[in-house]
Amino acid sequence: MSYLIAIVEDDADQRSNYCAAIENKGFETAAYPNRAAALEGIRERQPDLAVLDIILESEVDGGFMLCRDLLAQNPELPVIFLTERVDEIDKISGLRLGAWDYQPKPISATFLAERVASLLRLKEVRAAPETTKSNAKRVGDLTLNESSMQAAWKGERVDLTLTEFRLLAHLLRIPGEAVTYDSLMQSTIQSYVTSNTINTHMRNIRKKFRQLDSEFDCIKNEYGFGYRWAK
Amino acid sequence: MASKKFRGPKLSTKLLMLGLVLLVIPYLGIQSLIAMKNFLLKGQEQAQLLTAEGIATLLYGRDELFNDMPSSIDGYEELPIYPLDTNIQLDAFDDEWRAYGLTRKSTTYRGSGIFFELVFGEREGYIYGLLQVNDSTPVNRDPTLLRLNQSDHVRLYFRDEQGNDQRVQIVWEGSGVTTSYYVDERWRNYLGDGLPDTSIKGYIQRSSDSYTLEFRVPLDLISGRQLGLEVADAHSPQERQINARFGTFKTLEDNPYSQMVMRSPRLQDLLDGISTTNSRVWIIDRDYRVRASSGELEKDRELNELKGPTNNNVTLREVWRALRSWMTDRIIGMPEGEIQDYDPRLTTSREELVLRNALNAESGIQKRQSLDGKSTIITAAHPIRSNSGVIGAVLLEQSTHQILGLQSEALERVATLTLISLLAVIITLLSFSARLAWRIRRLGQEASMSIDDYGRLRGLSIARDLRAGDEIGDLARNIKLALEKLNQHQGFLANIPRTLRHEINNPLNTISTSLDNLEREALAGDDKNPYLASARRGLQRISILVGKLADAANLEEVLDTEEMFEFDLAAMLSSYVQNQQKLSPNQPLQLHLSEPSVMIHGSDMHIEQLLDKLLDNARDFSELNEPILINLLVIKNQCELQVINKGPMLERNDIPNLFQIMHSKRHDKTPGHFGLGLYVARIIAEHHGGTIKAENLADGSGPCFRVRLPMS
Repeated sequence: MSYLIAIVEDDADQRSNYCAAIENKGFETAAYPNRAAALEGIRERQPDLAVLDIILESEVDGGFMLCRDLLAQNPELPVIFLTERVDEIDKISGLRLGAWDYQPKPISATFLAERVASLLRLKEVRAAPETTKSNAKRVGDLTLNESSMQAAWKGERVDLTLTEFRLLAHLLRIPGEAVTYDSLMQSTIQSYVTSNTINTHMRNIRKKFRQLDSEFDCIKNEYGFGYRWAK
Repeated sequence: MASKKFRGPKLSTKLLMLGLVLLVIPYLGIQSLIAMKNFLLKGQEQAQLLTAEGIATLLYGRDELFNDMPSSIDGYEELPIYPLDTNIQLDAFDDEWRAYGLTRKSTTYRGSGIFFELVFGEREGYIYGLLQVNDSTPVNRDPTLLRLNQSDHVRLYFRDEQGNDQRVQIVWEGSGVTTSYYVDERWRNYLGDGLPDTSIKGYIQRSSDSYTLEFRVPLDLISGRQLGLEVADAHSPQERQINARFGTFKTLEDNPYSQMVMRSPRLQDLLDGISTTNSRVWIIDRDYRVRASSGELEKDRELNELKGPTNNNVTLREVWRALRSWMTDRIIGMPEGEIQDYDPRLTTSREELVLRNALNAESGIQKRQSLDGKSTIITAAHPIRSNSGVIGAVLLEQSTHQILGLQSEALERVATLTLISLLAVIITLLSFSARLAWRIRRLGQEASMSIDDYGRLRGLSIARDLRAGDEIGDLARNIKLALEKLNQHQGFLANIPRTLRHEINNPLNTISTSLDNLEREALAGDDKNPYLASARRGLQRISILVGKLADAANLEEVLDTEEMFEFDLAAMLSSYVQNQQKLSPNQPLQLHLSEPSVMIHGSDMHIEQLLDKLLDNARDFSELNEPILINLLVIKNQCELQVINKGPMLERNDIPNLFQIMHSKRHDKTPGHFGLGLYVARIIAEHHGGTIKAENLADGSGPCFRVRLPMS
């Protein structure tokens, strides 16, 4: 069965470019220019994954609103946000809408397509029976499941976005060793990332861990270099 | 930003200087006072002349009042007879006479000096005399001797009404009452029945070397108004020979008389009936002799004393008094104290131009200085006429004190009012200007406080003077308006990067995704298009530029939401430098920490960013293989981070602009540098309550960047 990817983007050129790149991966696409059209289309046929622009025509938060509606209908729906404003990232994580990932514009269409593919794989893995999730990596109290892209701290699931999970996984390739900003940037598979962005992500990851365990202090700054996972 | 200082007089000084124009008021006041004084003096002169004329009219034709004394006769000495104002007790004490000067006559006899001193006065129909003789050989009268010239004695010569010569000898037997005899021409024997004359009384006081005689003669006896006195000295009690005689006249051979110069009692009586205030009237006869006088010149003007001096402001009072006396003395020329002028008791004659004119039948006014030279006295003279012509003159004298006093009081008032008004004006001007200056200064402060060193609004605005209706209010409103416009403009500018990113990122995204699709199609054709790669690089640069700009523009907002906590800057620095050294081993770094631990309150991520920026900057300008020095010092409760590199010096004029946004001095235009680094560093330093400064090292080896941060 072919997956249906819903693309909501008000700019026609970008929309068609996304469609082209995703369809090239062998997925079906349904593209909508605004929230109303998207809601209507989605009611007719549920997509397997949604790529949402945040600003939709006159609605500044159109993407967010749409995301809420979609997740209400289908809580397991993977959502990727696209945004032209980096500071929106904070808002997304702050809103905790349940988006799986977000990508700042300009994005690479190839990356987007790959990301869509990997999220769909992830969805399959997560939906699969427990046994398939066995290839989990354990580092101290942390459990990292690379195939389902899920992390757990002392047995409790930590709700990370895809980018956050990638960063954490990268940090834990060799636990205890410092990882440079540069290599962390590479791991996000985003076209344009600064050490600032990494810092922001790291702070958000820390916050998420600390919500579970206020004593959490495993992610260490290596000033002028990057980060280190300390046991 | 240091601006050139302009120095000049302050607003208050200028206003005060303008206020000094008010000093013209006292000047004008004084001028009008002087005019008023002259006018009053003229009036006084006229009044005086009128009074003098009145008195002269009263005496019109009263020749007989002047005829009691013959006119001056040549060859006669004048013998002044002073009017006495107290009763004389004949007791040979000179206490009543002290005010009158004694006339001294002397001669030499057998090698030793002998002299007498004499004064005459007149009171109520008697001529009084005081005689003091130094005589070391007293020879008293021996009552057993009949002859009268056998002892010391005093001889009086006078002429009676009929013009007959009369001789009276005053003799004594010791201290006590004297005896007087009319004697013959040879001064040997008494006339008549030998009884002493009782109308001429005397009293003598003898001592071993002198005697004092006080005596009186009825004025009626000397109706010829000619009198002579002679002192006869007997040699010794053994040889009762008169061997020295000397008198009031030149020589006995010429004429034994002196011309008596004295007041006319009847004229005096008449004049006493005319009361004049603050003026003195003199009646002068044709021979310039004073025949009567009355009245007093105004005594010293009593400065109206401030009543009841209290202790707490005595000094103020004294200062005021001193000031007043200075004013009256210097400006008006009125001395304090009694006027020293002609004493009516002692003055027997007056001779002045105005008087001469009056005796020539011409009335006039004369201003003269008083005898002490301190006061001005106005003399009005008017002739006294009779059928036979001018018989005398009336002199009416008055000091200008009254007018000067009036002037002085007026001046005082002017001075006081001027002083008070000047003070009031000065205080008003001062407070007004102070308030004005304060308001302007406050407005200036507010305006300059509203804008930081980099020309951005601080968020504060003008709060004061907005409701003031005056020009300062207008100024405040204008400044507020200008600041608001500036704020709007600034907001617009600040939003440009964000708007730009939003607006650019979407088309960039279109390009980016299109490039991807193009690339994919090209790949399918299996030949790698170099134009696609360069287009992607260009795209990359634009997105980096836009991203960095937006980051920098958002930095302050991000910092505001940032969590701040305590951390050890020294530890962070050592780890940072170590890591940096690991990442780029080609650029040596040298870290020096003055303290092992320096705790600050802040955001470590952003301090790291600040270090990145400073180090990037130092690396870009550092000479090859020269180490970059990083020092951390503690100065009081602040820490100072220094980043020093060897390399080109900073341009002095450029230093203030180094930390401005989009300011880049890189000549090579390295891609990715937009002059944001130092701006970002400054924003972070300032957000931590610190400062950042750039300067050249004194030895000229390169620049030094100093970041000061408060320690916790």
